[in-house]
Amino acid sequence: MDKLTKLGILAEAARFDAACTSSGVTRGPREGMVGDTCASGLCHSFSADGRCITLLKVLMSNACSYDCAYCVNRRGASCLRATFEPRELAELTVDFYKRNYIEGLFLSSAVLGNPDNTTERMIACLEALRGEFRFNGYVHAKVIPGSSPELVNRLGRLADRLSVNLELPSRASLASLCPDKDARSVMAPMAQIATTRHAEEQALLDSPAGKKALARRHREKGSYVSEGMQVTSVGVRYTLGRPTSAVPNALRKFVPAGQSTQIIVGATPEDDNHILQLSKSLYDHYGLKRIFFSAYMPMVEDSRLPDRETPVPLRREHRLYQADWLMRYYAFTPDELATPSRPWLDLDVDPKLAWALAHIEAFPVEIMDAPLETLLRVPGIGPVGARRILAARRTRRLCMDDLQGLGVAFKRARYFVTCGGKRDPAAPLNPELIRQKVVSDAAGSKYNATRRQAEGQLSLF
Amino acid sequence: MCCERATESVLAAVGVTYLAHAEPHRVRLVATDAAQVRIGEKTVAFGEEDDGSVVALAKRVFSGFEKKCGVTCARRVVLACASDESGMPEVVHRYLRLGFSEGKRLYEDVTSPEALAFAKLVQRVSSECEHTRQFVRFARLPDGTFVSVFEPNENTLPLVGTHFARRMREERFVVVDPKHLLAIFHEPEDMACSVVGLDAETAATLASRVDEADERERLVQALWRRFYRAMELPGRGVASRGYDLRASWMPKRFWHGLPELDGRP
Repeated sequence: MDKLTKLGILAEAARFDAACTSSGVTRGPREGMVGDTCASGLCHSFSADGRCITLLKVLMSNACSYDCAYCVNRRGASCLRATFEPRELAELTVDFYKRNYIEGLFLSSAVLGNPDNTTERMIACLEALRGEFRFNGYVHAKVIPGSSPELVNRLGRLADRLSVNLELPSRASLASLCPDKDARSVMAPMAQIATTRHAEEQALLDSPAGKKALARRHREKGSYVSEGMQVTSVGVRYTLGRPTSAVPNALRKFVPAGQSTQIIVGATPEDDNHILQLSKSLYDHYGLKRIFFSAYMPMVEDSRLPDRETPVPLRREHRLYQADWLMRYYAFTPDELATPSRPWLDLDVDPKLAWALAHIEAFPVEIMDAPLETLLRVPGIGPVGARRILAARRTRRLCMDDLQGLGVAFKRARYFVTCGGKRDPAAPLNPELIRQKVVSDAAGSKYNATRRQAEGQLSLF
Repeated sequence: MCCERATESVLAAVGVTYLAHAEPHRVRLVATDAAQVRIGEKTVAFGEEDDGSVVALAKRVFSGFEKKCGVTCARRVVLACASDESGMPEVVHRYLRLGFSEGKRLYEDVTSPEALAFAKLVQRVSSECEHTRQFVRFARLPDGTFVSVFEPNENTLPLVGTHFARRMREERFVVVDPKHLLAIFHEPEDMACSVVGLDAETAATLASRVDEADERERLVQALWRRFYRAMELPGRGVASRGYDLRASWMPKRFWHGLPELDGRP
């Protein structure tokens, strides 16, 4: 099979994985080596559906010996099978990198025989990439559940980020759709990565470089607010997030950019409250950097799955990402966004706006004296707008007209704020009228209208 | 006062207005190629001296501003000066004056008209720098040199040279900008790129070297195209979203230079 066909098969097989970021670690250029990495990442292209392409995302092989119901590469599927030679893939990565097509490699694989065989092949590819081709750019590798801890450890010293796909949001769903996997085999490598990173962090903190970094962190220490969240100032933004490690990622040798995971939404009946609670728990217990939500795409016929004609739950995926963002940077809790009694996120209105409408008694907020936590809860005010408001009000009295110049989405914020005690004259006073106006504005957007039409009245179950 | 669209020229022109003790409201800086005299105005040409005095004065203004307002604000001035906006020199002039009067408080000033106009310029240039880092595409020539032609809306190549030098430290490469008649050159092991001004003919000759790519280069481009097409997922395109997400992230003006889009508009 020629390289072109092989690449086509193995890239198409990998496209269902939502993650494609090159962020999390800064590593400068090294003599005799190719490339560097930047913590903010860089998107080099965008696919026709608008998803970012930053890494060469391919499978090592799609010849899978597992039989997961939703997967196009499952054992019983009738599709073309291909497998990369480790060196061949490493060479392709460097060729693409030098032409500024990508930031690095995203290496995943179907289970080729057994998890250890597959991981060894992936390690051989990364060793060729880092050794023979002297590649210093970004590498994201997928951990195959069931791989032995020694191999996970070796993989983590070659890759910048590791991810173990949770795939489905509950043990029951995993057992039902993935008969060859179990929750333990998924969670064990996740726990191993978290533990090894923690141990490395402790060792680094005792080293001279770690002590220096810790002293710097103490000098810059931000203020702690609700539930251990910390105000972080990054460039022009103020966010509320989990306290970050004092050890710079560049000093780490094992998975310097941390770990992430992916959850498929819409293939099984778990609600949004369940998914957000699960996400919060993963962030807290395993120190995950990101959780990716992948809207289930009905590609395979199976009685355990939604019908093939079921539309992709794109808006649900979008709302989950927004809710995840609010939990990570705005100090929202899962129950505030999707309550146990109303466990689904509103598809027409974004989660922050939905929260504001459900807590209309907390508004309007006075721009001139509201603290950062309160400002960040106002729809239309983000980390940049909040920082600018805090800076601007120190020197002058702000009025409604000023807000637009400060990076506030005034169209949304106008209903929820006052400036010097004055409301926007065009905004209604009655909470019910505000709710009607805001909901009709949001529901009338082109995106919502198109998706509503695509989703129709079909029910997933 | 007329000046060139270059950081040193704009900064030196501001220096001259201070040295001349000109009243700020009676001076207006304009780019030479966009100068249009208003009723009652007199034009003062500036920046034609070739004795290094312009650069020396610009350095003096820049270091004075950096000392007074901080490194972050000074860096933003360099970004703003790369803008192609016709009113750029005057916006930078007003911002520098504001900085010299406000000092360290300038960074926190986000509401004054001068700071707002300046922030817009910085935003535009920063965004175009990111586009340059994202969408420059190299082709490898048979002699091992990597060549790229890129036409940004702002003069971004001098600002992103270090990025590419870090990324491709071991390679010899050149990026040509025929729009601003400029190129950045890099030799193996160098930590930075050389920025060279070009005439139109040289720029066209350099740009045409992209076509010298051989069979192997064409194979790599074909592989990249195949990979790009394989990444597309059904049920998420323009028709399913109601808007074109790809075009909003990847402006169509860059598409002709992207091998993955094969010259599609």
